Amino acid sequence: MKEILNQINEISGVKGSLVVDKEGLVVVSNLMSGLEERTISAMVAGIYQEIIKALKPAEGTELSGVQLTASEGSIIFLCAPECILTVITEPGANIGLVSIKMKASLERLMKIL
Amino acid sequence: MTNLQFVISEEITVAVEREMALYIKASRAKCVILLSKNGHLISQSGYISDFNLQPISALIGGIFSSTQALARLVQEEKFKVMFQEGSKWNVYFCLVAEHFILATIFDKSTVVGMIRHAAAEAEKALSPHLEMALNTEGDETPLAPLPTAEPASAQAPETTGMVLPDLNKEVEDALSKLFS
Amino acid sequence: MSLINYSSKEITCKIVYYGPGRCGKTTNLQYIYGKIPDEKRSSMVSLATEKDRTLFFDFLPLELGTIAGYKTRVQLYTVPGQVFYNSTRKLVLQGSDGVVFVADSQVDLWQENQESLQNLRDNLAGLGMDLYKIPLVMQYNKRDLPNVMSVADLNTGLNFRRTHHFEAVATTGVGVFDTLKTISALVLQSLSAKYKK
Repeated sequence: MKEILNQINEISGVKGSLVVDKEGLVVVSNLMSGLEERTISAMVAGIYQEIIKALKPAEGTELSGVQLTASEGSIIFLCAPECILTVITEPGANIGLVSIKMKASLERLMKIL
Repeated sequence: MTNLQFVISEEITVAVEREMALYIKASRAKCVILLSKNGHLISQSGYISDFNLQPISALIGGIFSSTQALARLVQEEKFKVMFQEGSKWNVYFCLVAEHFILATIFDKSTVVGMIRHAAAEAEKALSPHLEMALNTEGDETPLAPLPTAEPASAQAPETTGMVLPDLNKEVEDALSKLFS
Repeated sequence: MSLINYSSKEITCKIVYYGPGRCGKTTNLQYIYGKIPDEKRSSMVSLATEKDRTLFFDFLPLELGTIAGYKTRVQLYTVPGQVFYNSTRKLVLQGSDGVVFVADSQVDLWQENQESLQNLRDNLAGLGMDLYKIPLVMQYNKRDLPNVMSVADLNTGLNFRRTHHFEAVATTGVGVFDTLKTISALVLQSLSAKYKK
């Protein structure tokens, strides 16, 4: 699993990646120093929960991913039934490339988990 | 081990209640209680009416002391955190300032990762205040009693001038009334 | 380890009932629980085996009311009496402000009483406490049974501190409240002396 995250991290502009369970606990992480995995995992799970609640009126809709963009970079997460793959990028990173890589990586991760 | 006692001043109470309110907001827990390691309830915040906090505190104290004994058996200094998951309610507790436990009761409206993160922040905020509440027997400077006739000396800080009135006279009466 | 909340004017103390297995510690608490008015008590917690032997502890919080302006609570605990639960007894004994030693008055259980008292002394010492200093009351239970030792002999053999002692029949409540009243008073007086004006 770490190897899969390494490959994501090789993309220019990616600061780190991690797999988080829906309870906010880290499954595996590969983050640059300065990024606190517990904080990120807690926030990702919290955000996921809130979005799920917000999507309730649109019955049958499943959340597939979220992209949060800010001045200091982006946080992208892709949701699978058991976990959330999360990537943190710097501003200016190629989000399209990161997203494609994340989709492929998530499929590989699901085979392992 | 010296015999510890906890003396909670107004200042400590206000600070603790403030931090616990912030913690409840950040974590989205239903209820949070602060207790001594021995199971004495010190403070509570959130939807407390759903829970009988005194026996909960005593049980948490017992469970926590068991986990510390378990820690020693596996050559660990201590276990700082414990999490129990139910179908509706979950309980997360963590050690604070060595002598206190912060216990969080939460449901599906939040996640354990969030609780853990927020509890770690709350622990950092609470520790300095709770350390002030500890009073050890055998300290070189015992608590200074306030003089009865004169106003409190300006040199005696309010938080250390904890005194109790003479309970002797009233204890017998109160107990007789209870047990009659 | 008492808790004094100066802000809300509350005092909480811990009293532990100690003694050999089946001497009547739990029975004391059950009797008290049955007799105290609802508004003065909270739920009693008993962590016991299927055969009703105390496994971890029994716990009963009591409101004593307002004494000298302080809302006063005692938390009563019992320890498991069986020999192999010693590490658990030590855990429960932590932070206690007073002890009731419940002895089984039967002649045949004299050795168990002595061993339990020694065990209490050792466990307190291991926790940095002193059996000679902690508020202590002796209760000689099961006085209704045949073949019991005399109170004088029990005092000679167990009551090394010459502290308050009470004859009891915990199943019917004889001596139960006198014991509780006295240990509560001793604990509160000890606290009051410590933080005297």
